[in-house]
Amino acid sequence: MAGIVIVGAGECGTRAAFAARDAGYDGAILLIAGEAGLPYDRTKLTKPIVPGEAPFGGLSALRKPICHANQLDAAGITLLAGTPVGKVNSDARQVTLTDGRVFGYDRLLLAVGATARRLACRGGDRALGFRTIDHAQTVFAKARGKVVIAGAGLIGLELAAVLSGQGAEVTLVEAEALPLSRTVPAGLAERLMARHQAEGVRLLCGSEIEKVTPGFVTLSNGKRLPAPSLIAAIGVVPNTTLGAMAGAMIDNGICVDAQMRTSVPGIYAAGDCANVTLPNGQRVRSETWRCAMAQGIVAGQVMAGQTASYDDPNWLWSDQYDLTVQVVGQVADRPDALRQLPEAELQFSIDSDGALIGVAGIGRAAAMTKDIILAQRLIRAGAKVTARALSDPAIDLKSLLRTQGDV
Amino acid sequence: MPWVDACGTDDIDAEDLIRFDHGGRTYAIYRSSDDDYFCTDGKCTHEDVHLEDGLVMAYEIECPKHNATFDYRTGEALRAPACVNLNTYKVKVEAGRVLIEI
Ligand SMILES: Cc1cc2nc3c(=O)[nH]c(=O)nc-3n(C[C@H](O)[C@H](O)[C@H](O)COP(=O)(O)OP(=O)(O)OC[C@H]3O[C@@H](n4cnc5c(N)ncnc54)[C@H](O)[C@@H]3O)c2cc1C
Ligand code: FES
Repeated sequence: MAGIVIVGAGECGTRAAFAARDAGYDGAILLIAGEAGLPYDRTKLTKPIVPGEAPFGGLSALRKPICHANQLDAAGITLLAGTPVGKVNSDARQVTLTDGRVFGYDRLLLAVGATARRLACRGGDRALGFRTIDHAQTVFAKARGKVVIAGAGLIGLELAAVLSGQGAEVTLVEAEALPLSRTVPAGLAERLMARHQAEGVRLLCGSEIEKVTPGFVTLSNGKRLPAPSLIAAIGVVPNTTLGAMAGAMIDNGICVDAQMRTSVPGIYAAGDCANVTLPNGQRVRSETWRCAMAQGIVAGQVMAGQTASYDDPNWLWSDQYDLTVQVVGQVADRPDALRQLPEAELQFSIDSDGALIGVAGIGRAAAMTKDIILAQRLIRAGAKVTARALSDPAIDLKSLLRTQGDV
Repeated sequence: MPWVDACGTDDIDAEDLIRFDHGGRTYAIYRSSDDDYFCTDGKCTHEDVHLEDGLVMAYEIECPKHNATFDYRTGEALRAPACVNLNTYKVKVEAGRVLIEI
């Protein structure tokens, strides 16, 4: 039937489908989901549980659909869920599902996301992964009592908060000296760590799991810990198999330009699987919800024939206990300006030209979001700022945006 | 539908909003930079999140949670992840008070 075919119905693929239609595309749109059911919001799998809605047994609460069947119908998007695409033939412009069905395409979007990285050590395949609703189901059914989580990144930390809130005794094993060390400034990481410790989570930083045996893990320092449940949350690997099969350039993800075009005509890639070259030449492979959505929208618009280009700064948020962490753009360990709000703290990074390039915040979500949104706009505008103005909570960041002219 | 006295005109800063709760429901009342007043449902149509901590710029409100934006004059959802419009309510200003029809 040709038209637009989208492989992968995560945040990125689903948004792309709707964006293509919104942009006026009037051909067929086929959304192929490897996972069964309606597209769902992956980020909800580890978010704080509303009191009374325990994840144990209450999994339906975790499955938050990105869109409903009537919205897909209304937009004329055909969802084919439960069977992955096994092959791409870019000469014939066809994809083949693992059950043998073949579909032609005019334009193909690979929005295939990423896969949880496996523990590479001996016995590492005993660890549970955490990426899909099926994983969540397995983990929440099994992880009671003592739980060891390898990796104190965003997912490991969120999972630790949820599981300890459910009464599990959680130990986090992290190779770096601080949690989330690649994504948030050290000062914020320390505050997060203290909060987890106050909640009874044990954090073993600077250690790695060297061996997994039934019911136990052995650390690099020789220590052995009971681990009746072991979860690997050590990052993700972008899914590039289909891209490679199609002949697209691969380098830490499927390489695309800011219009989400791969090196193969008619084939696009976006979201966690894509390595994007921004208009300024910088390359980013993001692993965040916000970027997956924004890239999906650009891909949908471009496939529909509109001009669109992706230039959003990276944007991450995480909810742990009643704390929210947000990071936009590039942040350094030592902030150039600190803004203390009644229930939140913001740290800003400024480049050598005086332009705001990043902000990281921790605290109560409501206390900081307005400033985070404004900072994001300042970053996009390449606004020149002073540390003094950013540090003064009496100065409305909106006024800084105003002086930048039209944004 | 009755007109309800929601707040004074000066209770809202220019280009900002406040939350207003009435009859078990919650609303958002906006003052634009040219001192016009508008009213929408209080919660974002994406998730159960109040717009009170969102950002008002010109005629747009940006949701504090995932940054969907709406035109608060018409309720129109302008940017993903929201695709459902906000309900809007009539507003009038009388003797320094903002009244909404709900
Ligand atoms: C538990 C968890 C919590 C998170 N929390 C946050 C957060 O708080 N903030 C944040 O910014 N980010 C968060 N993230 C990251 C965020 O969810 C991802 O960045 C985002 O989902 C990426 O979207 P995507 O559509 O590119 O990829 P994915 O969501 O991975 O979707 C890709 C889809 O493609 C499908 N697929 C793959 N191969 C095929 C194939 N061959 N055929 C058909 N379908 C295929 C997959 O099954 C999958 O459903 C979280 C992630 C997880 C796992
Ligand atoms: S709750 Fe408003 S954008 Fe998600």
